[in-house]
Amino acid sequence: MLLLEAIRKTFNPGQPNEKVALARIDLALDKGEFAVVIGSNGAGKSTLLNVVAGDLAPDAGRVLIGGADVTAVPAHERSRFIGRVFQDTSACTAPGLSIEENLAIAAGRGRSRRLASPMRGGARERFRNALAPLGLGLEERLATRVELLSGGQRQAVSLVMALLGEPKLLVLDEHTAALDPRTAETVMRATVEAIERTHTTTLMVTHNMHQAIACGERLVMLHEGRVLFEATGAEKRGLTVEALVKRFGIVDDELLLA
Amino acid sequence: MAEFFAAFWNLLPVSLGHGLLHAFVALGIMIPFRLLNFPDLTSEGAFPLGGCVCAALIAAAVHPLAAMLVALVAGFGAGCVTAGIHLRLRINTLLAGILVVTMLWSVNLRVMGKSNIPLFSLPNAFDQAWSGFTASHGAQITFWVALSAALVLAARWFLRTEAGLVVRAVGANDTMARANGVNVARVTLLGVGTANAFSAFAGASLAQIQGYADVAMGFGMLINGLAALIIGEAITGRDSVLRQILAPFVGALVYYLVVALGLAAGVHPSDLKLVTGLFVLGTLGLPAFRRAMVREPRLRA
Repeated sequence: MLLLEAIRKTFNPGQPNEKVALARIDLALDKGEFAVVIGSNGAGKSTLLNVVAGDLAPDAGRVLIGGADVTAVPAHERSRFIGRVFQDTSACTAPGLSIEENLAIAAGRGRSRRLASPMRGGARERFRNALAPLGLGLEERLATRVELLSGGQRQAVSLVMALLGEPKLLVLDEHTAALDPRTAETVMRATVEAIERTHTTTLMVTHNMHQAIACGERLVMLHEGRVLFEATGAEKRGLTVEALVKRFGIVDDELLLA
Repeated sequence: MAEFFAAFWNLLPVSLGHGLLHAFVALGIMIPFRLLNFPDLTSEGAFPLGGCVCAALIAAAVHPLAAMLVALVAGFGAGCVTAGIHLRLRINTLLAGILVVTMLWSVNLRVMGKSNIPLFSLPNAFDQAWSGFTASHGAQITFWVALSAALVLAARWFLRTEAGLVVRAVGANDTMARANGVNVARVTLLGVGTANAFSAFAGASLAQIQGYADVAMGFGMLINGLAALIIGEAITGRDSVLRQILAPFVGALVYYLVVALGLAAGVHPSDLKLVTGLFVLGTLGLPAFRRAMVREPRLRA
């Protein structure tokens, strides 16, 4: 479903502050696969997601989604195939708009916006059904402005928005990192449930080792712009934080404590 | 006192007409500032552009309605240029606006060929559609109230459609809009363009109603409109789409009534810009002033 071929990205090439963010990334995700990308600061995680989503153009290499080469497709057009949730809890929603209006904007992804009410044709019912599985009671508060929600509630709404319209790929950029541990747990559980229910191909970046080990079918460890280690299937299920630390001598406290 | 009321009573019809007409400038300021989060100064140049283009075309014997339409398109274009400068060259929106306003001064002079075109003896769109319009304050007030009401209702409807939601999303959070497939650059271009078309419309209307266009007719227009918008928002609030759209109309009306009160009370017309500027400064500075007042006791405690 997602195919990255020999992706390279260097910031400020030829300048004193030149930084190779992605040295060479090859990655293939099957349809419905849930991959977790982990790595310390500067490993290239965010750059990788931005290249996938189209916010950054790679210096070399190709991005294919569902077999189509989208390397040159701008981010706003690529959003037809990609649902995204960011770390910043206010990044994915429009604050002055209500929950239902935010969902309507997400539901309109990938088609032209008409001069007609977004709530026609039972849209509210669909929104309620999409929000109900979160178990937060948001389905009863469709007219509430998003700015009145807590960070966790906003991330939950963002997740529902990202999955509206059945995207080919779900991109999660440390979407629970800014939440307190309990809320993060709730949002993460909702995320895993939603992914399993919809069988959406997912690329999730995280700082959190425990999360990376607990979630997903594949673990990809990035280091200095390269894939350092990959585990799937039984190998992935058998991973422990201790084993990874031992094997790679990870010195970044953030990875362990996050 | 009787003198004051008599003066105010005499000024009232003119002020109402002026207020309603200038509401379109306030609307042209509200759209970029509030809906698109794109602080835009272009209206200061789009307003005279509308007046000058319309006057030059009428003087060249073009049908007044067609002249107004061209003026509207010119205002739209001016807004697009400002938005384009910001989007393409990443120049601050305010600076982009000042650049365009400055350049429009020369454009307006070039369009008219001189600094002032009188239209008294020429046909105008308003009198053609409604005989005696420019001579009757009642007709003007009726027309502007009806047009404003229609526009407020249309805007309220539009901003709740799928297309309108996208406009509001661009202003509220452009990252979110982009992530949801919105072409932010296109919405910004169209939005700022439309806003300045409203300002140009006001300029073209004023030129025909007052009977002349002058290259300096836009001077201070932005601050007037901003003052009107601030007053309007203080009255209507910004809690709903309808309130936000009503604000420029209510505000412009109140602003020009307050100006009439000031004039009736003997404020010299040439001092008005200073007074208006101080008012805008005071309103915008009020939050900082309040914070300073609150902080002081805490420091002593």
